[in-house]
Parts: sequence; structure tokens; C-alpha cells
Amino acid sequence: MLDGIVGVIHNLDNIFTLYNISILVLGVVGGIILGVSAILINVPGAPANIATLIDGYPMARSGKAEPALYTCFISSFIGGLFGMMVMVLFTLPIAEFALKFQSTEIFWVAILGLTVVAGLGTGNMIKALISGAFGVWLSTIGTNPVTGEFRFIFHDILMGGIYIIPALIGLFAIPQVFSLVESYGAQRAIFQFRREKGILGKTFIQVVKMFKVQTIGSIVGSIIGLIPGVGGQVAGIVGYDQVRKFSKYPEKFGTGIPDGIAAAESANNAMVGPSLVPLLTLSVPGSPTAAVLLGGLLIHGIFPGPDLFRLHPHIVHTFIGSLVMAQVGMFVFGIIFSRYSNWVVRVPDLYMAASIVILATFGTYCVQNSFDDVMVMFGLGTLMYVGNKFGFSALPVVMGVILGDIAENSFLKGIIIADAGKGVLSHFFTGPINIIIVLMCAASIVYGIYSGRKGEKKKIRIGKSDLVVSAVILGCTILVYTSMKARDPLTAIFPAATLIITGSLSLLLLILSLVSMMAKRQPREVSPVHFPFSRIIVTGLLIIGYLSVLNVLGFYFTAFVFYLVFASIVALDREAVFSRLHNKILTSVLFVFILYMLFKMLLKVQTPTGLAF
Amino acid sequence: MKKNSYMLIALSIVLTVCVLLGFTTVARAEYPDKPIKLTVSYSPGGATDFQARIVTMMSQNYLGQPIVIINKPGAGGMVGWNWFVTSGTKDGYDLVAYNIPHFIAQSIVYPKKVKYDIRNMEPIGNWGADPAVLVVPKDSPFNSAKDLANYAKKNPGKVTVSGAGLYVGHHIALLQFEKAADIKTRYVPHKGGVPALIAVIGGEVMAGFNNTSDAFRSKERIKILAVADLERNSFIPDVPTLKEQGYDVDDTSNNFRGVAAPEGTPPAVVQKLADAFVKMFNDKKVIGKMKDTGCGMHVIPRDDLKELWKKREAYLKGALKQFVQ
Repeated sequence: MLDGIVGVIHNLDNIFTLYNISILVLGVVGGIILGVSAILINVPGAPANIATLIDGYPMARSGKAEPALYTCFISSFIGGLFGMMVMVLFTLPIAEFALKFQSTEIFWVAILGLTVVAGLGTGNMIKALISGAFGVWLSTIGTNPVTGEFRFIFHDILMGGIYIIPALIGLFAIPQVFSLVESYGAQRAIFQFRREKGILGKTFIQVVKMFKVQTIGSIVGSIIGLIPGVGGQVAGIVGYDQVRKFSKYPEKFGTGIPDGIAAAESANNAMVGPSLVPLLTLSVPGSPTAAVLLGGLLIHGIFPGPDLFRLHPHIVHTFIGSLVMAQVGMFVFGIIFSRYSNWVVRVPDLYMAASIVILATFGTYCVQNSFDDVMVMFGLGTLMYVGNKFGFSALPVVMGVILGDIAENSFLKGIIIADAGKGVLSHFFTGPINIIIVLMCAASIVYGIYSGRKGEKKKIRIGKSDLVVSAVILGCTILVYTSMKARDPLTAIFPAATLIITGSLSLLLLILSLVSMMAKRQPREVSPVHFPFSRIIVTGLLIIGYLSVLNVLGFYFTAFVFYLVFASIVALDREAVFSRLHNKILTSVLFVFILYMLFKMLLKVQTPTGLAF
Repeated sequence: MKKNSYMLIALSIVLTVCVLLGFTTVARAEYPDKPIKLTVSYSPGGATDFQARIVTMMSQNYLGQPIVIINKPGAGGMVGWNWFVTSGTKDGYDLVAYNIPHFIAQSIVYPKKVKYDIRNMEPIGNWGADPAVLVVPKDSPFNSAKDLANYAKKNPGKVTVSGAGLYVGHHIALLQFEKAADIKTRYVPHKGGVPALIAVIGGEVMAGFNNTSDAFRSKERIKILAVADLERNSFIPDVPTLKEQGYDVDDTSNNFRGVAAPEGTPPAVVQKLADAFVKMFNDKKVIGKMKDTGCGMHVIPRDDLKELWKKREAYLKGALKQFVQ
């Protein structure tokens, strides 16, 4: 969760003040916000948190928000300390080990991460794979850094490619906004719960008893953390996957069990310590966070390197000390906050939906000060909402976006090097680490197929709509494939492969749905009881309106107007528009005030001001 | 009652807007009377970002206003620079950090995608220069540029050389070295100087061109064979230049960093900035901090800088002809 510092640091305009006390405070605040938003709102704030919500959100939905958060913070703490210990005890061997990860090793790690994708969907493996392939394809948009060619730039806003954070926020937050609007008015009995007495103690004992989960999670997280460039993004999800595979009840994962949260959180915090070793000993930062930290050390005239531990032991100790302090702070404040988590849960649906829209906008914008990113975020999010309706889920898409980029770049670099040297086949399949990871990939695939067959009972459900959906996907894939042109053949390898995979999978889905139609076995469609079509349209229109005046009126003023209007009219109830108006205005003002304090005062984000502010 | 309060709200919103509008249109005093924004086309923590923060930290003393750094990374700098020339204001409050040869090379290689070139950016001042160095792994059999060149001559296309990306200084340095030594190698572009250096340290590639500052920090783990510059570098005085070793490679691949304004900024403002920035770059505190952190300083005032931009463009047009898309 400390990875959250990245997002926060991106916004500080003064790097010099960063390395005082603020890093600690921001790390703590960032960590808590990310964990909480994953579990309570189903929106991961950073790639590290995507695994947390798989079990965190269902658990919170079933009324156990508080124990879910306790589990999250306790496991973070255990994993975090484990990672620090690994870092301190094995600094030099870790540094040597990290250097062994060159392009082919990193390529195989990315592939290993992608093999996890198949199991991530909601039941239908074909759809999960299509989603994953779609994510990989998204990652190929923009300039290819190895061949220098542009790909799939349908509009200028795509020139910089699709950045991970906007994709992550859009894919999770926007469907959540629409589904809150959908469920508005329905009974929310699920969230009405009473605080149980002594729940903290009970959860604590329960979490500590999950010895196996914590151990596997922490070890996997620490190992993954060593791998430069990949570690931070996938430690959580790979740790989660491993724990599930070793569990006695893998089928329960994803339904909202504390083991899932514990696995994800212990792994993604165990990653932090080891991931900093290459920075401290070799002066090579392995992640954006580490790059900012390197800047901070240099500005104080300290050159990290093998001698750092010998020449400046006090600096290393202070540094490690502050990391441990951040873990402790996150633990303590996280636990305190969790007690009041039901306040967040009790926010009315429409207020929550409006807040998510605005926070998603700010969160996306401040990563690279880019309005284009905001548009991409909303575009992808809307597409994902439609996808959700047809049984596709966001998780495999996000994994594809994250890993596609890493896999492709390391693959192309490997190809160039292999071509000049010993040949592609021997380059990618020699070296102990390569062979081990390739074997792990194979094991992961075999396990996936095996467990898929074992779970035959919950059969791949094919509905009537799948016929149309698969036909549309197949059509789009063919269209994109034929429009593709590349000067350098290397540029085309990855996009072509993903498009061919997507095409064949959608063809398979098409055939399967045709067969099931022929068999006249009318499957039970999970049709929504009532679908508030007009409310969804109004929500969409309001968001479009919001985006189009955002730059003209200024971010904060527009946020105020949007919040007020959204909370008033989306219910489409004439009575409700003016009822409790002072209440709505007060909430909007308060919300914008907090927003302003957070982004303008604390993070010092520069937002377009326009006419107002 | 309901109606009343609604009117009240509407009125107050209108009033707020009017007041805020009034604030923004108040006549301006002498330039600059508000903070100046400096767009950096790379991520926070990178060399350009890091140095931009150091060289602008004294702006309060020289311009009377602080300089705020805005990062707009993407597509090797193209996103930030494109944004800057199309959306940056021309009143002197929007400045950009440029990198040479990056932005000039991109304007040549991608004429259709890139909206900037040396004609729609106004040079203000150059603060730094980072020459490329030729590095090999610690256990490499090569001990000089000559060893490497001889091996490459016998094994054309077999020597792999890493660098921070396509058409950046490292790439240009390799192109120059290939031409001077009459050899053919394989360039392996990485996403930034650090991964490129890791590839050398870990021995995945046989050699690399990298930043002097980064190579200097890792000198325990690599061998630095040559500097692609006109003279030796003060951080690594023992390392000879390529020229000394008999290869006709000049300082064209030097990574120059500085500040520019969009074309159309009032000449008086540009002149004021140009004067103030040169003084600011030469501030004792700035020079001291740059030296402490291992960054090469090279201050060039506006008039000389204009010439340098033109010279670089003319050279790169020839050198990159084969890559134009």
C-alpha cells in the first residue's frame, strides 16, 4: 500500500520539502485512502491494490466492512514488516539477484502474471481471457519505445498511450458510479449493520491464525518485489493467486473471505522493502517511487551505492526507520479509521456516485496534469460498464494493461539482443531463472485447466446476448486488424497476436452460443428486475456536461455545481429536486472544501482555473 | 419558503461567478506578477525534472516570482511538448524545459505527429549539458573504444549497445561512433537511462551509451571507456574522449537542457526572461547544488543558444534521414 506514495508525490511541486516529515504523513494517509477505497468503494487507487478488492468489496457488501478493514491493516502491517526484515537481512544477495532479471526474465514474469488472468473473471473463462487480451491490446496504443512507431492513435489524445492509473480508475470507478445510480431507491439492508462488540479482538485473533496465508503472501510478495519494474504492480495479485492455489478451499476466494484480503495485503506490502534494495545499493531505482526517492537522496548530496551502508549508516537507518514508522502509522490510524468506516458506507448512493465522479476526475488529472487522461478514463469506464452488463470484468483488463506493456517491451528488447547473439529460442529458454519461471507459467496454466474442469459444475454460462456480443467483438477485432499497418515487423507482433487471440476467442464464444441455441437449452438469463434506463442516460449526460465545462469554469467550481445538480436531479423525482436543498448545498460546499484542502493545499495540484476557480 | 431559498442560492452563485470573473480581469501590473509555470515533459524524479527544480529554485530572487514545475510525461517527451506549443499561453507565464537532441530529432523523424520544431519555440537559456559516455560491463574483455570497434568490425551486427531510447543523445552518439569507426552494431533502446544502464551492469548487452552522471554513480560496477564530447569530463577526468582515441565524434550527442517559451511571446518578456535566467543559472547556490548532485552545468545565453539550435537541426536532418517516418 505504500505504493500510494507515488500518486501523492507526483503532485508535490517542491521536491525539496518532500524528504522531511511529509513523506511519512503522506505515506500513511495515502495508504489508508487506497485500502479503504478498494474495500469500501470497489475502486483501487493504485495497481498494488487490485487484489484487495476481490474479497474486500464482497465482504464489505455483506455488512462486514469493519472486520474487512481490520484484516487489511493488520495483514499490511505483518507483510510490511516481513519485507523490511528481508531487506535489512539480505541486502547484498538481493541486489545481485535483482540484476539477474534482464529482458527475458522480466518477459516471463509478465507472462506468468497474465496466466493468472484466466482465473480472475466471474465464472466465464473465455470472457476473462477476452478481457485480458483487450487489456494487452490497450497497452499497445501509443508510441512503441523500441521501434519508435505509433500504433492505434484514433485520436490525438491517445498519443501518449493509455497510462495505468487513468485506466485503473476508469475501469473500476465509472461502472461503480452507474451501478450506484441503478441501485438507488432499492433497499440497502445489506449495509445496515450494527457494530459488533469486541470485533477488533476477534478479527485480530482470526488474522493471526491465518499463519499460512500470511507466510505465503509475504514470501511471494518479497520475491516479486525484487523484480525491477514489475514487482510493485503485480505483487498483490500474484500473492493472492498463490495463496488461493495452496488453500484448502480455493473456491471460496472471491466471495468475500478474509483470507483473500490478508493474502493480497501481506503480499503487496512485503514487496516494498525488497523493491528499494536496488536503489540503495546500486543507485538504480526500480520504480517511479524509487526514482523520486533517489532524487531526495541526491539533493542531500548522498550518492546511493554499495558504500552507502558503510559511509552513511545513519541515513540508511533513518530511512528504514521512517519506512517502519510509516507502517506503524498506517496500522494505528487505519485501525482507528476502520471503527468509523460505517460513516462512509452510510453515504447515500447519489452523493457517493457524485463524489466518485469528481474524485476520479481529480485523481486522474493530477497524475500527469492531463485532461486527455480524464477523457480516456471516462471513455474506458463507460465501455467497461457496458462490458460488465455482458459478463466481462475489469480485473483481467487492468492486468492486461499493466503487464502487456512490460511483456512487449522486454520481448522486443530480448528479440533484438537474441538476434545479434545466440538466437531467439536459446536466448529466451536458457538460464536457471528463465527455466524456473517458464515452468511456473506451465504449472499455472495446467492448474487453471485442471481446476476449471473440476469446477465443471458451475459450467460456462452462455446466454442469448452472447451471440450478439461475440459477433460485435469479432467484427471490431477484424476491423482493427485490417487497419493495422507497420513499417517495422517488430511493431506488429504483439498487437497482431492479441488481436488474433481475441478474434479466435470471440469466434469460440460465437460457436458455443450458436450450439447452445441449437440445443434449445434456454439458459436462465440473469435479467435485472428493473433497469432504470432514463436515470442512466441522465447520469451519462450530466457527466458529459461536467466534462465539457470543466476547463471553462474551473475544476472546483464545476465540482460544486455538478455535485449539487447530480444529487438533486438524477433521482428523476420532481419532489426530490428541491427537498432538503439546504442539506444538499451544505454537503456540496463541504465536499468541495475538503477537495480543495486536499488537492490544492496539501498536494498542491495545479488545476485549470477557467472563469471561476 | 422553498422558492425563496432557491432564488437566494441562484443569486449567490451568479454573484460568486461575477466576483471571480472580476478578479481574473483586473489589469495586470508589470510582468511577472504571478507564479510562472515550467512544463517538464518527463516524470518526476527523472534527471530533467530533478535539474529543473534545482536551477529554478532561486527564481524569487531574480524574477520576483516562484517557478512551478508541471510534469507532463508521455511518448518520450512528445506529449508534453505538443501540449505546450498548442495550449501554452503566450504571455510569458508558460515556459517549457527542452531537451536536445530529443525535441529536434522528434520534429525531424515524426513530421506528421509532432507539432513543434525549433521555429515555434523561443530559446530562453540553457542550463546543463550531459555528455554521453561509452560503458561496458565490469567483466567485459573490452578495455578501450578501440577494442570494441575492432571486435565490431570482425563481427558486424553482433555487438549490442543499450541507450535511453530512440533518437536521444545516446542513440546519436552511437550513430556517430558507428560512422567514425566504420562499424555496424545493434542498438537496443530502453525506457530511460536507468534500465539501459542495468542492462550493461547485468551483462545483457555488450556495451551502452549512457549519461555521465548515472554512469559516474555506478562506476564500481562498470567500465567507462570513453566520453562523446570535445573535452574530458571533470567528474571522470581519467576517461579519454572518443576523439582522443582516434574517432571523429564531437559534442553533437550532448544532452542539452534548458528553458524555452512558445513562439509569439512578447519580445520584451522573452528578453527579460533571457537576462534573468542566465543570472539565475549562474547563482552560486544553483551551481553548488548542481555540482553536489553530479549534474553537469553548461550555461548558454539566448543569442548563442539560437545558433546552437540551428546547428543541431542541420546536423540531425542529415544523421536521421534513414529514420524519417
